[in-house]
Amino acid sequence: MKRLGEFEQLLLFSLLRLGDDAYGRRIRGLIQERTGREVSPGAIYTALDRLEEHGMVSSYLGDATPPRGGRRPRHYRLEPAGREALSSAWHEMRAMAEGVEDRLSPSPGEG
Amino acid sequence: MSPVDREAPPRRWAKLVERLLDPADAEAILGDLEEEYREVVLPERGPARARRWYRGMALKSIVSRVGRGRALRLRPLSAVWPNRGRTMERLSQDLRFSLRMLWRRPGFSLTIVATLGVATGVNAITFALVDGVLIEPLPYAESDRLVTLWQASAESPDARGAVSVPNFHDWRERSATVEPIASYRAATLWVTEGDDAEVLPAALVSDRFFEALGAHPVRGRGITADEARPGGPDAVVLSHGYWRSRFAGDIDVVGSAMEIDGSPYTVVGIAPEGFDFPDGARLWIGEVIDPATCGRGCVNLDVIGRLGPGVTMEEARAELDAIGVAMERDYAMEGFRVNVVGLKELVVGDVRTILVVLLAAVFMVLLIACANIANLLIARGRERTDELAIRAALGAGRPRVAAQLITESAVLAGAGGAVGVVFAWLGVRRLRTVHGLELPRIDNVSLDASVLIFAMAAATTAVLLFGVGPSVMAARRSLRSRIRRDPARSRGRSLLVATQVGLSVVLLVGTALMGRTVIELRSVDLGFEAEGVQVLTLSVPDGEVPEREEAIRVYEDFLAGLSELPGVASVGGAFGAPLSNINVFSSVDVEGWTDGEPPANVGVRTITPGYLETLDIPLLSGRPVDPTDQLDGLPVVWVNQAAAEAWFGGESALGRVVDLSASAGLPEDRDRTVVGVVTDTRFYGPRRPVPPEAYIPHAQNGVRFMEIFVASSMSPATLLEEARRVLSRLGVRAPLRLDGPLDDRVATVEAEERLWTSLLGLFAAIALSLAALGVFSVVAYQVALRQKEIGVRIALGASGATVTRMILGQGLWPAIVGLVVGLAIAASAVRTLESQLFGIAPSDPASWVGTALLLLLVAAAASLVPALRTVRLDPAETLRHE
Repeated sequence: MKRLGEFEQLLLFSLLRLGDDAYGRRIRGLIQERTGREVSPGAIYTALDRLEEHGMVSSYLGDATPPRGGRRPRHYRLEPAGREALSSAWHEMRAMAEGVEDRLSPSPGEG
Repeated sequence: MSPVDREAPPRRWAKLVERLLDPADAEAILGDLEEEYREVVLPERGPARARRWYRGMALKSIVSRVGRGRALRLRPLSAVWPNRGRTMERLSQDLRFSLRMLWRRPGFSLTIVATLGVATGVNAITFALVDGVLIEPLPYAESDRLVTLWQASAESPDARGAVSVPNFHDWRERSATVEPIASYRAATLWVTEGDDAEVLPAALVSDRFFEALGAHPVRGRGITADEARPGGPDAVVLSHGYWRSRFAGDIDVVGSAMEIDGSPYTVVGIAPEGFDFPDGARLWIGEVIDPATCGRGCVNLDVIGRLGPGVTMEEARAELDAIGVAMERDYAMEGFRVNVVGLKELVVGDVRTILVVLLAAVFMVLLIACANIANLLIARGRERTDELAIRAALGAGRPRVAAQLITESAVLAGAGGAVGVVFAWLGVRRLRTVHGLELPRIDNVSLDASVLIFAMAAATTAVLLFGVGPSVMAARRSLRSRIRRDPARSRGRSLLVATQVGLSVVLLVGTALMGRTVIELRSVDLGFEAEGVQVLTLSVPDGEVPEREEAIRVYEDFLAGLSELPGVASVGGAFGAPLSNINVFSSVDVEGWTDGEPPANVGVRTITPGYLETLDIPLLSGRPVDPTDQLDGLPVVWVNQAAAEAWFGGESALGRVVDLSASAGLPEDRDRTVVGVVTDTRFYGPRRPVPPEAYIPHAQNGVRFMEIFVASSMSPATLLEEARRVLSRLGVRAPLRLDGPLDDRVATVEAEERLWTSLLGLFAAIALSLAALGVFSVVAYQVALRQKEIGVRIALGASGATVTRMILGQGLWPAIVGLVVGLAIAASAVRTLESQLFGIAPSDPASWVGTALLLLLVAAAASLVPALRTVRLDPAETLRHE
């Protein structure tokens, strides 16, 4: 099973949250909203393409809409392999952080 | 047109993304961006910042995809260039059509191609000349910083006098702006290997010579200071080519010995590939002049140096001028100065003027050709009004028609350019093999990329600028006004012809003047007879014959042996013969000299008995050189007329005494008695005046190198063979070479002038032909226009002569206008030629009158042809013709 990079983890989390609404723009917006990172669409698709190659996500085209200049959106769906990988990564992190969380500096939103 | 969508994101960036990325990616990315742009970014940030955001996002997306190797999957050519198929099809259609049209009018097409070909051809040749000789840098590192230093005087600051060893050393010590400074002296050296001997061009150099020229030896090193002094170790540096050919590139040759001029020399270095300064040197050895015997007044060296970092030419000149003044004071050398000449200037300075003149001339030819081409294309344009009208009716838009005309012109340009290139290639080859031509850097003249590009560019520009524009305009105008035959149009053509004639006049006058110059040069009496005289060279090396008296004997015996050969009328030897480039100078003390200023330095020539007779140089008074003039006898000297005049005025020179200095390489300072006066000979060629010259008998001097002049009927090869036999019978090993017929040297003298004149003449001839064609076409056009009128006149009884005169007038008036204007332009233009002329003034009446007459004649003839043709036609025919 492929090890996930941290950007990839962010993406997969987005898919988890967004469900059916997970297409490019929404993913971008969510990441920006929740982490403050501004990523270009190109970067997102590049990473998602790689995840798709490894079977962690799958994509399908939605319906074209006027605000998109008549272009169809590309939606992504989290696949079981992806869900597995994301869970592992999360559990690993948690295992390492357990007990020493208070030594981390507060996140920008808190404190 | 749809209303502008104010909310749409920047289109250009969207297009860029579409171009560069996969369609699927582009759709997804652009869709996202547009959606966000419209819904969030534009409302929140306003148009300007929204656009900036969009741009940034688009760019970053492209970069991400490229980074992944997934972008730049350039869409297949057909997607990007959707009309490619159609464009290609149209192009080939236009091409085929053009070729067909041109084929159907062979006269028209050939004329244009030929005119264009010749014009671009001669332009390319001249450009090749200018490029190879003037423009391309010399093949040395940073060659524009190399300068040559010469001895000069306050009254002749531009003189280029050779340098003496002590002065050379002084300059080295005193100068801070030119560094390093090195000396060199071209020579020929005799190299032996066992029984094999060959004479090679070489040079004697000081230390730091290679450094100065930026030519660091690829193996070993250059000559050191210790090796560049008399009595120092004998070292030699080989040229790359010589190392390859003689030693087969053996890397162990450095450190080994070779025999030069009878003595062993150690090879200390190999020069870089292609380096052969000066004059094709293959060996370099250390300078051996001994300042003790050849002091400050004994001039021999050529000096070269490199401008220090950041030093300008002006700064160097100023410093060396000051050094000259200081040395004048320190060494009591009155008027001593230093002349600094850039190396490039030295090599090509003399020909720069004439080459620029030629370039201007050939450009005029191009202009004239363009005028003709323009004329032809315009006329053609008018003829095709029918065809063009039909095309327009069939729906071909203006751009299509224009495209077709341009294609046609492109074909003509291509063909003309190709012809020009062939012409140029032949011309350049011919240039390089011209007999006796010693044009500087002639080897560098070739048909290379820059020349080819130049030729094609000239052809294309000529056609496009002068052809397509006017012809398209003419076609359009004709489409609108088919009936109106505007006489104002023809005035434009007449003006064109007048210009052609004017330019031709300038070229013709130039050619006439140069032609007269060549004739004048030829007619100058050089003072000696070169016909039937062969030149050998003989050196007697120190190593072979150490004693001076013996060396003198060798020459005497050799000459005696030669004179006994059948077929030899007379022989004589000389060191410093006319046109030999061997010139030794000495200061002279004339007994009884009363003038305050000492007499100018005199050229010292060494001759043997028989020399004056062999070259047919008459003795004006006194006696010829005698075998009894020996080292132990009375020191004698002969002087030329110029010297006799300068030193003794109108009185007889015989019996007077002069003192020539030992610094001229003579055995010692001695008073010499004048025993004969010789007629002047032109040592420096027909252009330069004859200075005072003195002749010393060889037996009283003993130089170890002489040119041997042999008046004989033998072939050169036979002569050399026989001469070798004479030499071997004397039991002496000495390098003997055949230099060739003396006639060749004379021919070389004017070879350059002849070349320029030929080229100029060629250009003038081309120009004149084109101008004649121009006149012809104008008259023919006029005649065609007025056919009916002429027919009526003839029918009403006008004589053929009257009508002819009327038509002639039409053709001649633009020619006359052109002639007058041309003469005016030529009057100021020839001033640039002034420095090249000889024996005639720029106002030489024969040239001017001749040109004018020739031109009028040609113009009249060109006008006559169509005139006579029309007049001979049956008037009834002409009237019926519509």
